[in-house]
Amino acid sequence: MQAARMLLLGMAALFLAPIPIGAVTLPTATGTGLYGEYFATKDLTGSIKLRRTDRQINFTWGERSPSAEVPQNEFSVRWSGELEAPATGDYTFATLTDDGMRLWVAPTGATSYNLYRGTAAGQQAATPVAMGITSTTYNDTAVTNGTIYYYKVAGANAGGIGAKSGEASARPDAPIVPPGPPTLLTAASGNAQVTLTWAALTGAVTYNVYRGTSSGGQSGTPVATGLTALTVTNTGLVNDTTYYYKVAGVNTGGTGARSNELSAKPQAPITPPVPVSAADQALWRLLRQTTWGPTQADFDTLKQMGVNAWLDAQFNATPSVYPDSSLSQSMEWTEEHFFKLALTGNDQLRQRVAWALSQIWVVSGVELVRADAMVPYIRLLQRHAFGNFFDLMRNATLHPAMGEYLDMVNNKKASGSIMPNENFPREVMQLFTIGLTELNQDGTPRMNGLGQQIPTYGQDDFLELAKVMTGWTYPDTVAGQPTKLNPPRYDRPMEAVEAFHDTGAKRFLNTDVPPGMTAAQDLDNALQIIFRHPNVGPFISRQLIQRLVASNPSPAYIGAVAAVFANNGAGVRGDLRAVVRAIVPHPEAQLTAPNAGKLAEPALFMTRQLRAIGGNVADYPFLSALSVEMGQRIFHSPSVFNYYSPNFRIPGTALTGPEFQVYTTATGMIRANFVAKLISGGFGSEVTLNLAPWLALATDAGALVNQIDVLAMGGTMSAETRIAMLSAIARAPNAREKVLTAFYVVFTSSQFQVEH
Amino acid sequence: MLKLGQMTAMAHSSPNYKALVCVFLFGGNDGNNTIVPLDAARYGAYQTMRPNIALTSNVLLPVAAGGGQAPYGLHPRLTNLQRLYNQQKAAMAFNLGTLVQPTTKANLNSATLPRNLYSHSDETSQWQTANPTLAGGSGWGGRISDLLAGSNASTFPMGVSVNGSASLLQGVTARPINLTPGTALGLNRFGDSNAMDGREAGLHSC
Repeated sequence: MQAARMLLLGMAALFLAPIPIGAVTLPTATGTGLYGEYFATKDLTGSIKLRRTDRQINFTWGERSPSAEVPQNEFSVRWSGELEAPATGDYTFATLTDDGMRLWVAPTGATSYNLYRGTAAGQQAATPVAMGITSTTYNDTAVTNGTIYYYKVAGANAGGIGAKSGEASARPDAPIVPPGPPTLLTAASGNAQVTLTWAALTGAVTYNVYRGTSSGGQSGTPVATGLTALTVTNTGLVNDTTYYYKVAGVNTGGTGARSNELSAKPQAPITPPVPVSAADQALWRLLRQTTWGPTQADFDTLKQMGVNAWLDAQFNATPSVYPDSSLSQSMEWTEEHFFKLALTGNDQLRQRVAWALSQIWVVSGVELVRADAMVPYIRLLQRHAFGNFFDLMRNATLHPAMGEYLDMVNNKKASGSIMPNENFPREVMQLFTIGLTELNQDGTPRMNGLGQQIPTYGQDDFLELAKVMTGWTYPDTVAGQPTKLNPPRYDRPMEAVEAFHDTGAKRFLNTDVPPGMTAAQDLDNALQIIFRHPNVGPFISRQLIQRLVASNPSPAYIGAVAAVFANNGAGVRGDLRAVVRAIVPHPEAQLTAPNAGKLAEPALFMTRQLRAIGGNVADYPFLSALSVEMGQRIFHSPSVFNYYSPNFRIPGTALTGPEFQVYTTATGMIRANFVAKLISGGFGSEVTLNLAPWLALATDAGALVNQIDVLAMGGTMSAETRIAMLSAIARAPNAREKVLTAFYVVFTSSQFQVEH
Repeated sequence: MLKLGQMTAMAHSSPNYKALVCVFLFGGNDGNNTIVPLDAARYGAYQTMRPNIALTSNVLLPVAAGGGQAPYGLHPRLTNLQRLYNQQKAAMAFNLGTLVQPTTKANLNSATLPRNLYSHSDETSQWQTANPTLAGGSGWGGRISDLLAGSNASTFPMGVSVNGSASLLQGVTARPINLTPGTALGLNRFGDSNAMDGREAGLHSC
């Protein structure tokens, strides 16, 4: 209430009636005044600040306070007292105030009151809604919300019902309640922000949003208030934290119940895939076929040099060394050294080809349990990897390790019932050179008129060849040929004891070996007969393709390589360097069809991971031990038939997959568990991975996946794999776990293990 | 994780449980160094053919032959086999091999012979596939598994190899499980548990 003129004018009277303002005449006050109670509120509430008797109620306070006890604005006063009517008659009481006044005249003559009600001004029903009211207040409950009611009251006593009072009106209304819970529709993650949307809620005027970092853990204080739109973007969040949201409607009745909860985890933007060009993918693929696993440095070098120059550099790279000290070490030392060279050697392609040859011309430490025999044989394969196949044949045949493994050493010509040993003669044809059935130059079998395959040789052939292979013993250090069988030593080729050699006539593979020759002449003649057999090209070409590139090469691919085997372009047969050069850049080596490629053999499966991640390997037993568990103990093929057959059929398919012969329920698990152990530090001090550059990428899952895609898959990761990887990485709580997840999912994936 | 011990438990869960156990030596056994005829004529022939490596008759472990035949002798290290034989729990079968049709020395050149008869690896395959004319193919153990699959209530495969891929156990549809003795069969977990759940989900989908 503004301070203003207040006037109370009255005399004792029974009736109250409105009077027009402006018709008032103020009489002179003759009494002691009315008792005034002053409040510092505008509605007579709170404590009474000032009590006094105002002799005359006729104030003009203007902008001033009535007294120091009440404020200048917003105060109220209640005056009460009795007025003496100077003479009998009708009196009218009226007030003239600014901002409002309530005037109540207690007709001292009344013993009860009647209340009259209407729904239009001045239209009260004649029948009161309540009678006999003895209080000076009444609570009318028989009303309808939203309707304006107009009231008058009349006093009653023994003299009857007096005149009706002036009119007062009021509109009852239902109390306003807060709105119910809204429905939160979406919570979408962004970069350090979350955008929420919710459904419109009846009764809500605005909305509040509440947030917490645990389910149900929203703070009582909203993070946004007074929202009139049905959406808000909550910003300034910490990425990779899960936030839990609820929303509530608000109206003048208060804040309503909270909605359902939705959560969202803001994340840094995921870097999209960086496409690796087809040309670069081809280079990465070539490295998978020619190294123990591509590194970024390999790729950079290859890209800078180009394929031909890079292959030349590999052909000319200094061979890795198995040192002389290894001769007196255990076989395990040799196995571990194999992995050291694979991980660190510069002659990657020579190592791959030598290893491929070791799986064709097999000598196994299972029987030959001595490094001083095996290491010289490994060196021989390294030396001949890019040489001529005939030289390989001759030197491997005469190597004492081979001689001992397949029983050619100390093998004498027939004597009585003792026949020459047939072991090497069989395997040198069946496994090392021509195979069991005649082949076309494209590797497909030749057929006879009955549609049957044609055996390359029969029993007579290897019995005759067994005669050729007689007379050889271990080398010695004495000049000239030995005359007796020597004790084992392995550091030079076997030597012939001519007395033990069968000098008779022999005939095999439809060709005569002339009689009367020395052991060496016979051997050279026989090996030349085998070497000239048309099967050698397709038979060896197919297996080298299988070891380097793909399990199911097409006849055209085999034929192209076999043609180079037959003639390197300079009229030379058996040039392995030319053969490798024909295999690797061949268009089919770049096929990505589902049936292309091959399963990475255990050794390659492991080295590819280490070379992709990068790190320091201090010791190698973890690799040699795990290769054993995966079915490929290095230099220890279970038999001369290698770890797997070049013809192994993947069960349930029509596909050849040699390496699948050692991929079983158990070894499949062991492969995955190797990955787990490697990346989680399970091999202790043997290997320290260089995680730092990977951890630096971990804040950006997309960049992390891009990098592992390049190094592990040469940029060929499928969209499905990428999505699965991002999904897995999102569940990792920190950078290290994210990196480990990326490694684990990639290295266990079929796309990594089956190289395309 | 499934450990081999569980297989033992399965094997003993029923008193009527029977398993066919095959030990395949991949051709690595020298039959003439395992069991030797002891009658004078055939032992003499054996000695003649193996002048340097024949086992002397006095060290061989004698086992009686049925049907009035002369006894045989087992290699002196085969005492357990001798005991089982004498308890009638072991039997010998001689002169077995893969054939396409009945074949004798007389019709050797005209009969159809097993594919690559002189190839050790083909022979070891044919012993497992019982199919002497084709390369590879399903094994007879696997084909038995195919036929009996309906009666195998367990999801555990019927064929179990403890030495890598065995074509013996590959059926047309049945697949064996390959176990490494002493090795648990399961994925090793590491690091954060929830992250590992994510990794395993990734492994299964990639």
